Amino acid sequence: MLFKNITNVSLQTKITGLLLAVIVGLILLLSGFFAYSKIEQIISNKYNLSMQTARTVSLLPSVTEGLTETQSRQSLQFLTDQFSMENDADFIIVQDKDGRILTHPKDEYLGRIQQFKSGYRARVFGGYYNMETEEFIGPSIVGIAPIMSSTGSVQGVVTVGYLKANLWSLIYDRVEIILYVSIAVIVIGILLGYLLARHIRKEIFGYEPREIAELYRNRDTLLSSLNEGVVATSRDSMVTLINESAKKLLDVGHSYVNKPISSLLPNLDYQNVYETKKGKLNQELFINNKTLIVNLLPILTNDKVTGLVATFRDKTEVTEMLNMLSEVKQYSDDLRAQTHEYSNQMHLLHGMLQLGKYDEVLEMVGQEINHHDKINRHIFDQIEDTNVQAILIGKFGKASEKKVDFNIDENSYLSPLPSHIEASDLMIIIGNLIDNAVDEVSSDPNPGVSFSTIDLGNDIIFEVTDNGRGIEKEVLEQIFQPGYSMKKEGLEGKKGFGLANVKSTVDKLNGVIEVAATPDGTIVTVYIPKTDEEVAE
Amino acid sequence: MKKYIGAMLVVLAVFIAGCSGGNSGSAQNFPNKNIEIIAPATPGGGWDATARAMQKIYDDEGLIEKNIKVSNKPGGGGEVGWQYLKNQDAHTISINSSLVITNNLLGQSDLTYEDFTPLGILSTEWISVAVPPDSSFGTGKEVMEQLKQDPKSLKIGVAPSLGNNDHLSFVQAAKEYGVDVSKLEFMVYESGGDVLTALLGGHVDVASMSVSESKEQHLAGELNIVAVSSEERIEGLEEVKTWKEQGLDMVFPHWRGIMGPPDMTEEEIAYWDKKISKMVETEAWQEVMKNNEWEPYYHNSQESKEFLEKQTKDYKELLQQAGLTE
Repeated sequence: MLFKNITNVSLQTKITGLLLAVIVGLILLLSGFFAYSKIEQIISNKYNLSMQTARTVSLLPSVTEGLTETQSRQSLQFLTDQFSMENDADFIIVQDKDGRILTHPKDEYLGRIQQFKSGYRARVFGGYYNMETEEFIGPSIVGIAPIMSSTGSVQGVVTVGYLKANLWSLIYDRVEIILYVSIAVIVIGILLGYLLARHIRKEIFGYEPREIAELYRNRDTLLSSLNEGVVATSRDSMVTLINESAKKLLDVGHSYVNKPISSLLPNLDYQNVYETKKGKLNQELFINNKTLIVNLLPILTNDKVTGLVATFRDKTEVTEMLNMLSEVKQYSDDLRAQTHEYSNQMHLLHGMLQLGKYDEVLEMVGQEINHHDKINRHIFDQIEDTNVQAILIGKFGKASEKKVDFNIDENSYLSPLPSHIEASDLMIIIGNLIDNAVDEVSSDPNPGVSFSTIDLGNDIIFEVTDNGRGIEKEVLEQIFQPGYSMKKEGLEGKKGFGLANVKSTVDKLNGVIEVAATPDGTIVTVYIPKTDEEVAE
Repeated sequence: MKKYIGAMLVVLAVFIAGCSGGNSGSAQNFPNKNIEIIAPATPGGGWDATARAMQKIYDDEGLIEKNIKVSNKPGGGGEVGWQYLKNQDAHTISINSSLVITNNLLGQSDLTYEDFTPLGILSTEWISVAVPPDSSFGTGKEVMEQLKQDPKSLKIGVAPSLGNNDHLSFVQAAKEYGVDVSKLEFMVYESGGDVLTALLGGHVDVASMSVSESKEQHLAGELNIVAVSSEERIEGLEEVKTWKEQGLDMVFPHWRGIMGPPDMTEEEIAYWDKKISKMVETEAWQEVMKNNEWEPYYHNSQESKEFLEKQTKDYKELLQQAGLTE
């Protein structure tokens, strides 16, 4: 019953109970020892004292006389009374050799003959000894000595006794002090236990341990479910907590606990947060090849900063979303361009038909059919993946709108792609490469971009070629860095992430990207393995 | 508290002894100095005679190569000698007797046989009960019958003090017969000679003394031995019945033995076992036995220990009134 409920007992009760148990246990143990040794001491002391007194009395000349002369018996009683007083003895009984009682604390016993029981060994053998007996008055510790004649025969026996009842009260008197001290210590113990428990409660906002455990569990689950990185610190800016996302974003292990946060997230204005007690939001931080957007918030306890919380997310992730959006927008623009192109041609046809220029119409339609056939054959017969088809059709429109000659290599072959390569990945890779190429050459005379793809081996290969001015060697190193751009115009935040996105997407798919600058232009080749092998991190 | 510390020290001592047990260099060289035999009495008594007999035999027969000396340390019924022995090493041994047990039981000493190392029991003599030649008592049983009727009717002579073997032997016989021993009138004399004188002078009606003290007088017709405390009848006193033959189930040896200081090693005990067992087989020792009216009563160290345990139990029983436990 008790143990069933012990888990539901409050912390205060537990601490107090434990302290009390320890204190009481110790006190019981020590008092037990002390009392035991006290009792031993008292008893052995009484043994010695009774023996000594009996011996002394048995050797007094007046006692020997008193045994034989009746008139000196009264003085014998005085004598033994005196000895009783001096030694705190409860009784001194002198018997002659026939067992007649000559001195006794109670007068009515005087003169009685009492057979030797305890005194036997003294009476018969002249022995000196201690024993415990109930023969006289009550249970007592006695010392017994024979009274010897000058020749050495036994004339009588002296019994000096201490009543056990008095002994117990004596022992109790001694042990009583221990009892009071013990009670005082126990009271102090309860008080201390109470104070300690109260102090602990105050430290933990009055929560019970199981509540704290629950909070902790909740916090853990919460933190690990977050997509954002979270790092919390103690008052002195030491990391106390770091969640999974944060470890992943910063690419660190658990070893950062108890290190200063500035070694984890450098170059942030921590001091400011401490001083103003206000958070700093949306600071950008480039670290570990990623741009992070960091929010710093102070942990306030009673209006004092007792720590910091930094939450951050990958800005690249954010831009990727933006890119995706613009990609889709681009796609619909491309399709719109195509429709526009088509309606232009319809208008042209319409005009020509009205003017009756049938030969031109025929020639134009024929050309168009040829062109479409060629494209469609390439696109629809040889490139079987529908996503790639759609992207290419879109890019056709865009290229023709920009007056860039876009063609698809007639040797391109592509089966439907494996499922782990998603439409968005293709859109990022192919879309960006073609867009870059088109943008690059659109201002040149005779602009031309060609696309080819093949999937005969273990890899899927995309290749985009333009006839632009090419890229300088030193620039080659940088083009995949996020934020690098060769464009002069464009939106802030959208600029310079195309190739970086391509790179990160290709990396994600375990692919390789190569850029070759030739005198005739630039060739970008992407190799993507068909099989989805997780990169062991 | 002291008790526990004591116990811990004992454990520690045992532990240390256990550790140093392997290092028996001392044992292999034992004895490596002169031997001392303590007679805890003045020259002339049985203890002194035993000690000097041992010394002589060991020297004459060359059983022990070291010099042997006898030290007389009289006082307190052996107490003085035994207290001295307690603080010596295994080169010192002492003669003992039942006093090593009874002294403690009668409050004369704190020592018991357990404070020493029993090495052997050597000899015993038997206790006789004697009456004047003209006494009306012809047997021990008749004496006891008289005392049973009236314990105070006879004066009994013993020497040199109550609680010695002569006294205890008589009390045991009386108890065995059903006499109220707490009413007996013992007259205590300085020596066996004085008891003899008192008996011959009619001051006492009966005396308890060792056979060696009474035999010659009995043979000379100076007194009459009416009982002996031995198992068998005694050589030269074939006409005297033992207590057993008279229907009292008791045998009372007055034995003498040898003990060493406490905590002797196995090797030291073995050494003395060897030497003592050799000694009691010699012609010379038999001669000593004969001359003193003693009987060979050899027990080796192990047997002595058991014998002393049993003796202690018997004495305790004797000294306690029947039905009264301490």
